Amino acid sequence: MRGIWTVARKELSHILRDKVSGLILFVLPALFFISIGFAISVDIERIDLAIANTAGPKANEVINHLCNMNKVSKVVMLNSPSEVEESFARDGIVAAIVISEGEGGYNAPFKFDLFINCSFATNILAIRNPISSAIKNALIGPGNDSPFTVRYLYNSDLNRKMATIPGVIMIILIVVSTIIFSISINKEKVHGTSRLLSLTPLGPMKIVIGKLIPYFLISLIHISYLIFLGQSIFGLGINGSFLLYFLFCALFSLNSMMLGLLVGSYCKTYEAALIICWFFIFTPNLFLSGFVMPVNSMPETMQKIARLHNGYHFIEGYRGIAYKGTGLSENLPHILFLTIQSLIAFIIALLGFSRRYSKS
Amino acid sequence: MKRFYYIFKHEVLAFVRFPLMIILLLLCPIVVIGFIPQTLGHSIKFNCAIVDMDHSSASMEIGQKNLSSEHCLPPVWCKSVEEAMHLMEYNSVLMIVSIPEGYERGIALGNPEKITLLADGSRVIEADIAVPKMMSLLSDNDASGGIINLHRLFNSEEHSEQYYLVSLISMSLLIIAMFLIGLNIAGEKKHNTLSQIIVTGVDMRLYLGTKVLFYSLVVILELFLCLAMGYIVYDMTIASGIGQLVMVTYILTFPLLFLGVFIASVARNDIQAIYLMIFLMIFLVMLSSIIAPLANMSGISYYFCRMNPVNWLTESLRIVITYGYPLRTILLELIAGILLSVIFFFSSIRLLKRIN
Repeated sequence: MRGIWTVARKELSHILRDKVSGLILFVLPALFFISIGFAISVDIERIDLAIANTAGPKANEVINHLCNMNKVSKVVMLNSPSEVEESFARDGIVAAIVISEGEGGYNAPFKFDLFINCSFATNILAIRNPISSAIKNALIGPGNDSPFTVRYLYNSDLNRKMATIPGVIMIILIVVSTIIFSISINKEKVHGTSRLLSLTPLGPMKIVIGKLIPYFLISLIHISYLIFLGQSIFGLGINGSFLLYFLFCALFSLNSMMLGLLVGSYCKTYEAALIICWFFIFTPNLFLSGFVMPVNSMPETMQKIARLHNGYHFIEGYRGIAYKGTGLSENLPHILFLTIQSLIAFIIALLGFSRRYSKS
Repeated sequence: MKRFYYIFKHEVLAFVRFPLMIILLLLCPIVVIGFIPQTLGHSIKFNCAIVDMDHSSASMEIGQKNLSSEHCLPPVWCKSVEEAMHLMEYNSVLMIVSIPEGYERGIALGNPEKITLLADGSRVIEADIAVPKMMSLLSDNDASGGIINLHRLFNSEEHSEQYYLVSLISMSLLIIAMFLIGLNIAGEKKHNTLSQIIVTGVDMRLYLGTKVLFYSLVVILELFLCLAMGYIVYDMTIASGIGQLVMVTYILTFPLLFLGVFIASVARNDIQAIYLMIFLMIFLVMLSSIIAPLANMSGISYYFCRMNPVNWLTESLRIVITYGYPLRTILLELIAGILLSVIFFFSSIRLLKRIN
């Protein structure tokens, strides 16, 4: 135990010795959380629109409604429908509407051709629906004839930050626990200090645990202030058990560290460790965890692959505990997955580390 | 010219000394480009629970509509809202359709009771997509009300594959550009080889310039690998032509390469350089159109994104690969990229000279 503590103290002093690195490690994740939390939205924030009116002044009422739509930031009036294509390139618009004379007389005075830049498919409904509503309001007036009452459970105001915050926390924990920890493991090899460590009476297990402790403490600090920032800045409190939430985040952090340990144990250079962490851990987790795209929008076989990522289980568990207020039994599959994956990664990493340790 | 040749040869030898790196660079496009976009942005199929309190033919019809819809998985019939909510807690359903008592009678009288849709608000993206789809499914009404003729540009199938394919190419190029050269210079600083090279009389501009040139070729090679993977797996085509794509990529990766050089010059040691690069890279990725388009950026972050060199690269790749707009639409980005490269290059030289 004493040996482990000595290695942990050595590692901590390495982190804190370089003030800039320490500052980056402690302060940048908070800045990242705040800025990215504010920046990224799952909903469209600006609708830049072009309108080509060939129906004459009688369409002015419709145009007024379109211009006063929520989130419209720019309206470009085109002289003719042939300019639509050019306007997408020139003005960077996301949608264009061509208003022409309708063929149905009084009942359908206008015909609308709506062109949407569909390259980002998630935004299509968010662009089409307000435009349809604005046109309907202009033609038949506002009405509340919907045959449905819609309620959003666990998020009555449909706070869209709920979609991004778990993903941003996942990114921070993966960066600190996987990437930076793998670099720290790799550092001993690159600097040649692993030879010195091998001369000490400490075994590989003690060295690994000793190196792990400071980074685990740092990630616990991150988890604590991310909870505080999430609540104070984005108004996202924890509906479930606070203890369970904290332990779950700590488990994910530990799991990410084990993956970092795995990479760090087998790589010889920083470059290789960074590229493996980035391309094989960070990027798949970013896209397959459900942060960018819902997992159930993926093909079935891909859903199975997505469920093998630790990020997926973190986001699912996070939503369950923090938003729905669910307990241990509902989140048991995620907890079990993270625990088993951590154990497997730890055993494989320890084998690699021991081999390198005995070689040096 | 001879010096340039020797520096370039030195870089090539240093690069091929680690075959693992070459294997990784070959593997990355296979994993990132070949695999990830396949998973993204297909039409969502959601599970819903139906709470039928009317037990009528009208409510059965709602179940049938769900069953036959391409967007829904077969619905789960529940006796109460509580039972359905319990399923929602286990993520077994995304939405609950609650049909009130007397629904059919209301239809007959011309004043039907409202159906309640309860969506899982903790899954914002899914709920956002599923609620309008369920509403149009149940009311037999498409959201445009039939008065709007919709034209889908650049992505008629409404898949996000094409969008994220470009994003992932841009992300791969960023990492190769920034990490490799940044770590190379940080390593040279650490081993003091930079100071030794300065005393040989080699001009620092020539030395750094040659390094950047070599890594820019690695980036272009990675671009070709990504394009080959995109073509093989997704039949990806380039709207504006390969020549324009290479030119735009070549110009816009220079600011990223020089940013890597600049970070390595600013950092005091290799660990500091790595930390700075990792966090900066994540900022640059998230504050660009890699994850979501600029139209989704709120407030001041929109303007930050517009000044981000990664965004210039991503948007330009999108314009050349997907949209096929003329080059003049990205002229500003190209000029800004060249200017930023020059600024980073001369700042790095000044810093390195001062340190050495």
